[in-house]
Amino acid sequence: MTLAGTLWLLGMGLVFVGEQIVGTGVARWIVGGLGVLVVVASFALRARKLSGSDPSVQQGAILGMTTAGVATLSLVTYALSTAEATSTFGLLDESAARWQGVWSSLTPIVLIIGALPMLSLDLVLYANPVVLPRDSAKRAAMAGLSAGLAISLVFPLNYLANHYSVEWDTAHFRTARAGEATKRLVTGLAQPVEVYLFFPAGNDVLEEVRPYFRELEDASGGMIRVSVRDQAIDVALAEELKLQDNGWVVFVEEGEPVKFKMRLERNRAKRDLRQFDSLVQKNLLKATRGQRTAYMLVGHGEASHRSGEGGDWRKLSQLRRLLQNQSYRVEDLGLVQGLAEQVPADADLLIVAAPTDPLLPEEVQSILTWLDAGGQLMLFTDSRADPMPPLMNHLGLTRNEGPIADPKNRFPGQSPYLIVTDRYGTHSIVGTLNKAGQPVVLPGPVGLSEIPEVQTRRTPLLRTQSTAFADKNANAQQDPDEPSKVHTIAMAVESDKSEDPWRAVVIGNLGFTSDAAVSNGWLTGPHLVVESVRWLAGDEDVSGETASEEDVRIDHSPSGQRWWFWGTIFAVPLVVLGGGITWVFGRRRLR
Amino acid sequence: MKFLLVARRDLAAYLSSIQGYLIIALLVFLAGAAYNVFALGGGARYSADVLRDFFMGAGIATGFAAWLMSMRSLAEEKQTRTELVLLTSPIAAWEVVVGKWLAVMGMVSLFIVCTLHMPLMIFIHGKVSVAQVAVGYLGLWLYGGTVAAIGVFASSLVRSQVLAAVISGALVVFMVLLWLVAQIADGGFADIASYAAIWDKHFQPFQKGLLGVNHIFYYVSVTGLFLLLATRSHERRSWQ
Repeated sequence: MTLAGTLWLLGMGLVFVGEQIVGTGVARWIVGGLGVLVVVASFALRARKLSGSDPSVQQGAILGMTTAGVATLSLVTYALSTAEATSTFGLLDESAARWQGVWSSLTPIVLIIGALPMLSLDLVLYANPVVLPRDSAKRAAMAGLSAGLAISLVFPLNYLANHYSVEWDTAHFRTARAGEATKRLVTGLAQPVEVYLFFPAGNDVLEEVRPYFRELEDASGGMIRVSVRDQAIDVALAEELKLQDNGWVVFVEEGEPVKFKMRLERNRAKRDLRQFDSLVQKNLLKATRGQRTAYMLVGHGEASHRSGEGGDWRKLSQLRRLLQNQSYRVEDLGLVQGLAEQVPADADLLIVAAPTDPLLPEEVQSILTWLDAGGQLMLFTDSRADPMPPLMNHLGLTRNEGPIADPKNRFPGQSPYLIVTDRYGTHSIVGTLNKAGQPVVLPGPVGLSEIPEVQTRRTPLLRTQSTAFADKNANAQQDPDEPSKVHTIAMAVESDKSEDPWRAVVIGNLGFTSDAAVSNGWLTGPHLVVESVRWLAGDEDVSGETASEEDVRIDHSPSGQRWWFWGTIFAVPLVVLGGGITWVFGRRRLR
Repeated sequence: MKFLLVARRDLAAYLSSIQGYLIIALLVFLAGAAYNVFALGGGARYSADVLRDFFMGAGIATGFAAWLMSMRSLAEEKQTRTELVLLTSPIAAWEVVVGKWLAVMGMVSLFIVCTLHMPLMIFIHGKVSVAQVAVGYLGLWLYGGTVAAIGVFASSLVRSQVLAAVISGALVVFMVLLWLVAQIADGGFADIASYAAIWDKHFQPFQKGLLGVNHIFYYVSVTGLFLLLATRSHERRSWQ
């Protein structure tokens, strides 16, 4: 590299530091001005070569001077792109932006097209200070120019590729996808819903949720209107919606707006993004259909969301969460809450989760009175639970004796009481599961039988395979009085009178929707419960899949898995090395 | 198609020396260790996160593989004084450069294949799609290709393999750290620096299974650019 070339690079570097790193104040002008002086000095050095040298060197120096001049022109184009230039020319807003856009795009192109040929020439001039080989200056300049043009072309081509880019999300868990249930919900909306996304422009989380709402907007046929707002800019609207900051998704139909908060950093918002469809569905239901109340019966040894006897197989915290996602407020209901007198008037749903002790007659009477007035009842029972004859008889059902076992259709390697079945009925509750053919895992279910004399409309939802038997003496073996047959496990029941249209779902199992089942990844049971709740509430239109399946965690700590992982980590490099040594020495021996 | 001859010759040279296998085995081990410690360490983690962190570790290892394999490509020809033979042979300069790059990519691909067992474990134990894994590997290959092209370019500049490694390493680190430059600069320059950064904006989508045409185009264009620069630099001897 010649001294002139080195000085030129130094000068341009100083200008860059002054403009882009120092940026403001007197220091900017001092550093930048010094840079310009150094660049001018480099030209003076080049000019010295124009006289008194070999003609070939003079020709090289002229070319070098020209290319350095072109490269230095980038200072002029840069100056034209600054705010000072636009204000000098009196340009405002859009015209100023266009002016700056043109000159700031031209600056790197002019710089590169001039600088690369100049540097190539400098290399030749440095290597041949006395006489240049024939055509070497021209060839060096052409080589630099072609490289410069290629670099200059890369910028606009990448700009176009970025502008017209298409992106595919191949991840197993796509966060920004609306599920079938949510799409059906928006399709059936009676009134338009305004959705405000309060995020700062260009926010990563907004980029994730925007395609989701675009999909929902398209599916809603104009019933969902989505707009992106910034709390810092749309202050009046933010105040009206009582928002203090960004990160809110707000649904407004009529009355009180319904909203939920997202974290603004993609990493911290990951969990919410994974369950985004479920979150939207929950809040959309709340906005359009209002908050509902579900009561869970307590005081008779029922399973609940709290830890208790039976461990996770009788713990229902996941079920409680699912109900909350369906816009239900979940409350306890027992003697203390006045069940002996009546079921509260705000009860939309009553859940009886396999009580082990019998209910008082007054409690049963309250429940039946409420049910007959159009209530919605979800009743779980199992072999440990009280048979609840008055309640069950009212629905036209009885619970059969003994847990059902099925040695041929059990969960692989498990007890015969852990049965698997995919025999669904034709009811809308199990429509999605039937279509998907997803089996359900049932730990120790009991069968249900119909009482023909009781006039209710009963539709089977779920049955066992024909190899199942009711193990009356619970000895895990099939005895002569325990014939194999199809058992009905779950039933949808409706009043046959149109004036009091109550609904109930009775399921002869509890463990299938417990926390233990969910932690084992057996999600068909909870799905069936959600669909049942939707049917009970008359929300059949929102049945279908919710796209919020959660990713599974990989736990590295269990001893067996850990050694398998570590073994493979060491094994593969050793195989590579061993294979390589064998190959190399094998070939050498052959030679 | 003379570049294939060059590629074959160079690849055979890589495969018949123990160093290539040693580098690959060492990097597979390091990628595996990083996978165990960072991607899988610290308790139960979602499989998508494990896969993303695996591709981060594998990406760094792929960069090292491409860097180490490419430093010798053209510099070795200068060192052993066979460069003139290549320059005077009927093989065009671009064919020499592309052939060298393909040979490096052969070794980089071998390294990449040797890491397949790690996402396979995630596939078995977790919930990731085949396409997600394939997209991550495409990203690894594109990123490795770009680093290899930078390495070939650096090795075309100097005679010493060590110096070539230093130059290419500095270039790659600079291009990786351009996103930091974008943080301190402003205006159009910040946008350009952010877009030109070789890792931050372009590799991370591949880690998450996002396949974007713009990211593929970026890697292909930068690779092509450095191969062109390497060609110009390789030709330099004929006019300097």
